[in-house]
Amino acid sequence: MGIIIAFISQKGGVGKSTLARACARELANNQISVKVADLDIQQGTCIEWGRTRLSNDIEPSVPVAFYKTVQAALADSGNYDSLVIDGPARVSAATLEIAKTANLVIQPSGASVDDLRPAVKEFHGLVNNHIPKSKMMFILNRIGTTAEEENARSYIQEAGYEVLEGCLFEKPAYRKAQNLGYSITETKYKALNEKADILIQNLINKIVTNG
Amino acid sequence: MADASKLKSLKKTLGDVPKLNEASNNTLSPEMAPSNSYNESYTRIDGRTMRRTNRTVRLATSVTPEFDRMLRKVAVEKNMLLAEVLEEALQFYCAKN
Repeated sequence: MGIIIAFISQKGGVGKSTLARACARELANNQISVKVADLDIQQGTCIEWGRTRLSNDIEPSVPVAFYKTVQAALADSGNYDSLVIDGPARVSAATLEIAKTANLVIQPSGASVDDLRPAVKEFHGLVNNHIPKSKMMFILNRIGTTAEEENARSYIQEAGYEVLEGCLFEKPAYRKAQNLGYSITETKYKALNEKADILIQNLINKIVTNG
Repeated sequence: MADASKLKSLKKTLGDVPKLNEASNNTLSPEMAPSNSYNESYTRIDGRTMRRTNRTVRLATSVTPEFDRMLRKVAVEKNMLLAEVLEEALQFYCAKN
């Protein structure tokens, strides 16, 4: 079984697909065989993005596939060095299955209480199901200011969870890039790419540390 | 003069964090979200429903005028229904891929 990196959340629009795509893109760029498992068959965000990327001949290519169930995705994980799971905007028994198997479970969140409070509760739910906290990580997304980031970071840390160093600021350029099949590390702006790249690097470092 | 501006950010503006006993129990929910049972179970019965065999289903889509023209031309030439041309084309496509 390859490395499994899972992006989960009860809410939509928090950045699961954005981060899953960037993560997969960077792995592919390092010649690591990777597959994005899009489990949101109703939304299909990653699938659409993969199609756009393919039709625009963007390298490296990032394979994306639909899986109706977690079991089907996990069964396929052995065929790749890494499987990046883009979960649906819903937490269920399947999320627990993902968490049990994944090397890292990432929950992106915005900086508002509306985002943070339910997100913490979801991780609490996984802890109550004996998922080690070392596997769980928050990534802050759609951040407005550094003060907002610090505030959200301390909230999560107080709740007992790790927050990945760095964050994604709310930038239209990220959306624009993804609309064209690029990832957030491939925008037209070097500074934005570097920030996103640092975030993904920190994520990879965390996986390496976890072993 | 001392700069205490950073102390402001330490002030709790997001409220208390949820305790572990406030954990979500969403992991008890089934993987597939239950669908709307009202819509699923309700079928309005009329004359057509009684005669329906489900041998065929309706398919509506938008195509280019060129595609439409070509499809109808083939259908006329071969004396086939539009659906038959599409079925045959799809079978041919699947066999090739």
